[in-house]
Amino acid sequence: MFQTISRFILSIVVLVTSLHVFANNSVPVSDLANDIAIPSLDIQKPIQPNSVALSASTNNANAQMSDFVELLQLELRQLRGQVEELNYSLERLKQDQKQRYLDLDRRIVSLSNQPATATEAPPTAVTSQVVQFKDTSSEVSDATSLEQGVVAQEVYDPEIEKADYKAAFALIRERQYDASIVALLAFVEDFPQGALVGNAHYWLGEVYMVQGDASLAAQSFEHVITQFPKHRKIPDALYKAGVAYQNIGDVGKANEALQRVLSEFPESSAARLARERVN
Amino acid sequence: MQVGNLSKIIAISILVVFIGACSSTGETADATASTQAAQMAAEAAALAETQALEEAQVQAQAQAQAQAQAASDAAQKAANDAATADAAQQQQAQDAAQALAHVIYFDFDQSTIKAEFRTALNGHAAYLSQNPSARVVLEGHADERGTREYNIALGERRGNAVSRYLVVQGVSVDAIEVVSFGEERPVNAGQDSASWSENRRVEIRYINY
Amino acid sequence: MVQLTLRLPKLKFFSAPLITIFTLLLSASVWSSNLVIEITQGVDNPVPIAVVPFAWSGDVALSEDVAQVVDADLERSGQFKSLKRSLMLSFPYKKEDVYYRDWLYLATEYLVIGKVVVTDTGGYQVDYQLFDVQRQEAIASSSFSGGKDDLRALGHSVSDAVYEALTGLRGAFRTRIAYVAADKKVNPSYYKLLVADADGYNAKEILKSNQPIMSPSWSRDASKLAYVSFETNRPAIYVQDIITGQRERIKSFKGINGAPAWSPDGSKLALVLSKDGNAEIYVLDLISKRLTRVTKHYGIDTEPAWSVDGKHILFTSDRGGKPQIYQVTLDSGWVERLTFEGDYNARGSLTHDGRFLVLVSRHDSQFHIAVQDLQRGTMSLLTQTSLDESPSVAPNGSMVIYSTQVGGRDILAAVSIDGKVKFNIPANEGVVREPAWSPYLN
Repeated sequence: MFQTISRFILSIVVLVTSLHVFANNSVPVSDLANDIAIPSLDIQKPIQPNSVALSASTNNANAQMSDFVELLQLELRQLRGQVEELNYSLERLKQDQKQRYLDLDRRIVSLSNQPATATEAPPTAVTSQVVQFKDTSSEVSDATSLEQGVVAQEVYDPEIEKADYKAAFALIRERQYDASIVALLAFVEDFPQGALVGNAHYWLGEVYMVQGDASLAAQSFEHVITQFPKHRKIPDALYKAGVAYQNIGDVGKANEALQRVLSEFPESSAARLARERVN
Repeated sequence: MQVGNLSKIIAISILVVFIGACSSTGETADATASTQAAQMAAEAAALAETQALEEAQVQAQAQAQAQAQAASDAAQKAANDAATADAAQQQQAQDAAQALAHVIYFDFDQSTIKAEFRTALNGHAAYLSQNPSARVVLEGHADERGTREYNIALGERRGNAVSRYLVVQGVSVDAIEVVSFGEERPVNAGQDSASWSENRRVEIRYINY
Repeated sequence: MVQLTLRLPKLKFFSAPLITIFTLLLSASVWSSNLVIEITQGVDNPVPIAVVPFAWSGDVALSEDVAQVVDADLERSGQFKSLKRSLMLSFPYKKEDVYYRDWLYLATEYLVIGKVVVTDTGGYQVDYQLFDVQRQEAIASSSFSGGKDDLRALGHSVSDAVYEALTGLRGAFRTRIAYVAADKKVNPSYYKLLVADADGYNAKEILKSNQPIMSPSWSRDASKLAYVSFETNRPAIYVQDIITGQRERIKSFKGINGAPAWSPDGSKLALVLSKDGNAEIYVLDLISKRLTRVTKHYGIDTEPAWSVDGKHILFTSDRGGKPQIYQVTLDSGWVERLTFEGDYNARGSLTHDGRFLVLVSRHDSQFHIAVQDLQRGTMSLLTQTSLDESPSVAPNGSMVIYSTQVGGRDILAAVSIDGKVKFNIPANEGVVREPAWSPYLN
């Protein structure tokens, strides 16, 4: 994909350079034309009014050439503008990509380092599909968390919840972000007391971030922080909220969230990322 | 409106110069013609909008002087050589140049010369290339939209486009000077697209015929 | 209420001589040739402050009401709401006379008192004190002295000090603005270059011409102005000392001579010349008179502005088909585009910290003043009017002065860098435009 784009840009650059050379060369060309045109006028003394029209028509070719050069310059400038804009979006894409990679990397690291202890069961199961490894301890914790869920609400099928969550999460993996938002919103509505609702809110935030809607993302992370204060995702939610607030330009709230990660979860990987952000 | 005024002034000037050239050969008469032309031009301009006033005076005076000079030259030649044919021809060519459109208009943010102005520019080009002592100033202008210094550059780009056109038609680069006034000297102070289109222009001013 | 009655004799004691002075002052102040400022929009919760009339024991009334100058400065910043004098319960001018309850009662958070005395040299000295009413303590005090014509300037110094004590940001009240005024409806029509205090007072004519004057730019010590004048029917750049009036014409060339901009160290002038075919940026070393070409492109390159460190020049170029802001590194000649949002971005300049790019940006065929955060790349519009141009940032980066049109007339207006505070500065004659905010005066 990048190769195609860069090849495209390269070809434009080549085109632009060659056109540029041509445009520069064409200026002396028109000067040359003048040198030819002037003596031809001098010969025609004394000047008759109709000779004016005659000489003008012989210069039409020159005029066309001049127009042509001007059009070329105009088009060149427009092309240059497009190259600049393409470069800019490419650069931004690269940065986004890197950001996402780091984010994913961080999550993998955090998963492999921390044997899941409490509520984060099904996401672990789902994530395991992504990263191709499975931790037996997470299976155990699955059971515990689901049991807790059952206690909390009687009319509620943990299997359905788990399946729905998995489905929503699969959409995220497939980058069907719009669909995943719909699924996650439906999920939090269907299982308001579910064991995974905090995770769902967190992932809503992640998806909003990917889509560039930092303000909605901040709301989602904020929801996790305030409604699920004991959730395992809190350090991550705080860090992500900080990033989202920075993107909106709310420096105060961004710093508040990032500082909380640093002071309350100094050992977390989120804290490491937060430190980079603060600096 | 500006064009109307200018052509009126030009018409008056031509008349004055014509009378001056026919009636006498003396220097005093030329001077009178010059002042008369300036006065009449000033009177005509006083009727015009205040906007046009300044420019009209400057142009009328410049033209009156240039024409008086030309008339004087022609008259002297007539007296010395008794070859009136040349002078008449010269006068004819000058009249023809004056009769041409002196203002070229442009599209928004554009400096391309529209086809409708080519005839006029061809005429100016012919006159300038056949009269090596003739000199023009191409005054480039922009409308008020956009920043002032950028508009100065845009006005110059328009002036340069006209200049390039004339040069391609055989006019010596030395006969042309481009001066840009950007958005500083609008002919129409209005704030609608019609007014703006009147302001996006290059004015061709002869400083010597 | 008991407190009030008890204070009353005190109030009378101080107010009687002062009030007479103020009535005299009102009639003495000159309004005619100055700009008048109308605040159109302020912050949501301006801080309530009271500026008590400054004491003066001289026999003759002062030519300026110094406290009024301070009051107006703070109000104009949009960040303060000043208490009307008619509501004040007492007019203290020394610390011992400040009764915090009076001010608490009026919901005032900060209090400024002061006095004016004559110096040995015949000038004036202004002493002021700033109090935190809630905490009932003095938080700043100082004195400023100047010549006999410097009363307003001394007032601005007090405003600067109060503003800095309360916001942590250096005040820019004791600064000037240069601007161009024109009137084409009078005969003969004219163009003028003027310099006024930042509050619009003390307008002074620098140059008058019947041909256009453009692009004033301040030297770093605020003693000189560079500008473009068409007085010879051709554009030329002049440098003029605003005190002596002495001026020098920079060597001019065929075509454009425009957009002068002083380098941060004051030794160079960036400018635009078209001597080599079309508008390009050049740098003129004012000492060696050496001229260096900076840009090379057949597109338009204009409106140079220096980076804070003097190593880069920002400029407007349409090399990409549409006018956008670029930055060139002077050492290497490396050119980088800075703006990507919108199809017309021009006349960029930087705030004092180099963080924000202030520019003119077109959106929906309307020209607005916008600010781009250079760290985050986001642009936001500061104004909603349609033909806004010539933005110039205050030396402390707090406000942007610009020109706009109201009722078909060019007027000056200002907006805070966060867009929250706005005010118009209508002129009483002709049109005014192209404001340039001076650097700090000292």
